[in-house]
Amino acid sequence: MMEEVDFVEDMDSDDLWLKSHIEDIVDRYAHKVIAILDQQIVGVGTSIAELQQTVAAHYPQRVPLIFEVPTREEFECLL
Amino acid sequence: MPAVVYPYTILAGRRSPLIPLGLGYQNKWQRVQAYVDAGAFYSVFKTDFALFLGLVWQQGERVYVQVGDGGFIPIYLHTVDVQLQRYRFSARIGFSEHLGVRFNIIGRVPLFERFVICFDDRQGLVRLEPYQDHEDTL
Repeated sequence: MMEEVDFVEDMDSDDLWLKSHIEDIVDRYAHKVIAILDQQIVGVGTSIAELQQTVAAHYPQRVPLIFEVPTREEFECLL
Repeated sequence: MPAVVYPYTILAGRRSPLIPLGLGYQNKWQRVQAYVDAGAFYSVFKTDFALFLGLVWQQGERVYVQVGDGGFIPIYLHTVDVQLQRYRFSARIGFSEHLGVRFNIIGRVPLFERFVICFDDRQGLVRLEPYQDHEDTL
């Protein structure tokens, strides 16, 4: 069963922002975890759990996009 | 039901089909990126996402999947809500602490049983067209 319903956040704008800035993000934040909200990085952490706690405290009603940043090599060596 | 289209993530000329998803459980949501993997049967996400949603990931149904080096890793299947743009559905998602890559994997379950998926490398897009009469068949 699949329904059409709006999500609590804009599903696309942060994704497009991430993809348009991926080169800079990988160079700067490889091996980190970042949180993106309203087309900007609102948190950086060393683990998903740590970042979730930090971001939830600052943006309790929001749902940021969490992205574990790979290195260039990890991107390029995917099967 | 219109198709959902996402551009590839392009890094150093390498195109990767990463898409944004919402994962939800009991009205708590998480937004994540996942790599669309047509060669993967199950979807596998990091256990931190399960913990954030309030799931005890070890209590899910345990199955073993084979990974690239030939070894087997346990994943724990839970039924969660998945949001893909405007489309929301319940699905079995695996969580594992042994996922050795930084990408979450979205595989044939639950994606390919609900959408016709086209990897359009020439245009740099992944296009997901929902079946009009979905049934869980896999």
